[in-house]
Parts: sequence; C-alpha cells; structure tokens
Amino acid sequence: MLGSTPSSGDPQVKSPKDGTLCRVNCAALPEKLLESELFGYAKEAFTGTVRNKGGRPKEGKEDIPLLVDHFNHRFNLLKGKNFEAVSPEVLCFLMDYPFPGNIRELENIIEYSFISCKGATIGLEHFDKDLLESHRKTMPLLFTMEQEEAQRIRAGLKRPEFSG
Amino acid sequence: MSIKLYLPSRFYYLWEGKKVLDVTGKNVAECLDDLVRLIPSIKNALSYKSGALDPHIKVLVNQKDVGSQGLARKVHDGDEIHFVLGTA
Repeated sequence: MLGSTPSSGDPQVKSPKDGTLCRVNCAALPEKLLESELFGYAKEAFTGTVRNKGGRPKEGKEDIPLLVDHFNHRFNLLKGKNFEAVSPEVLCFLMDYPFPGNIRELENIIEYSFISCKGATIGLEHFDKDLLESHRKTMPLLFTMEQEEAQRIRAGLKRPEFSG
Repeated sequence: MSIKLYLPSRFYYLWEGKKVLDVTGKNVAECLDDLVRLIPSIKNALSYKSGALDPHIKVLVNQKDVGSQGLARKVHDGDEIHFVLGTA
C-alpha cells in the first residue's frame, strides 16, 4: 500500500496480478467492508453466494435497520438520490430474510431497489422479483402473514383518526 | 449509438471513481462486450463470458429488470443499463 505523504491523498492499492494502481477512499468505506476492499474478495463474493459466517446479518438481526439506514445513506450519496426511508414492508422482509449470502447481499438488495425505484420511498415492488419469489417459496406462510399485517397497518393508518 | 452503462457501486474504482460509461451495442450483450473492451479487468470480476453473465447478476434497462430477455434485450440510443451484483 502506497501513499505515505499527506498530499498524496488516499492510499493506492497495487494489484498483485497486473500491477495496476487504484485509489481507495478509506473514509468512504463501511468498516466491515474495508478489509475486503483493500485485501481482496473471495471468489463469487460479488454475487452474494459466499457463505461468510462472520458477516451474515442474520446473526445480528437487530443490526439490520441500522445497516439499511447506512446503505440508504451511502447510496443516496453515491447515486445522487434522496430516498428518505424504506417502507415498513421492506424492513419487515429484510428482518425476516435469512441472508444466505453475506452482508454484501443486503447491500446489493438495497442498490437494486435504488435503481428500480422512481418514487420517494422504496417498497417491496422495487425489489428483485427473483429474490421475493425465492423467499416466498422458502417461507410462504410467514411471508403471507407479514404481507397481510402490513396491509392491515396501512389500512389502519388511512382511518380518519390518523389522517390529521 | 450511445448507451449509458452504470457500474455497480463496488466497481466504481475500476473506472477511476466514475460511475457511468458510454458504450455501444444493439443489445445488452454487445454493450457488455464493449464494457470489457474498456475495462478488461471487469470480465473476471463479473464472471462474464461473451454473451453470458453470472446468473446472480441482475441487469436493468431504463430501470426495469430485463428478466427472461437477459442479455439479448435490445437497446437503443439513449438507453441506460444498470447491473447489480447478487441479490438472491
């Protein structure tokens, strides 16, 4: 790793394969991703198929809202958007989703929704349909219950006593 | 014919921090071939072989998933291609 002088800015990482250099803005990287950014990825890490036990959000589900908020903020900056929130159904889905990949899968899910969403709030309709379908097949009853509960909450919020 | 191809955020570093490239092609596959010409290292990163992409990687044209059309999805001047790494 190079970049010893303050004026040189971000450190430069040299690829062991072809010797090319690229700048890495360490301050912009989440702590959990910094190591792999600097020292490389496991094969198929980008596709979310790596089973990284240490990095699975399922093991700390209480972290998921924080991680969603973190990625929401990050992609707002990276993509010049201004999504304020995700819908309750989205959070419900993500809290339930087993994340067979690693934490990058969550990041990729949020990135996908940032691209497909044209409105102000990210909903389940902006998620990858294959992802929704695979989860529906895996946990059909729970998924249906969550959907029904979300619909009941939405209907309740439309009642006059909550309208203003 | 110019198509805007948006890199996944994890690959911004491959193009000096830039997010989008102008590529040419009549369909997504040809645009990806053009992308590999511009950034050869992305071929391995995406497990891309001409005409075939890692099935875990999603492709969207004008913000809509190409679905079963896959890389054969036709594109036109001014279209925008995004691809996103594994979501399922």
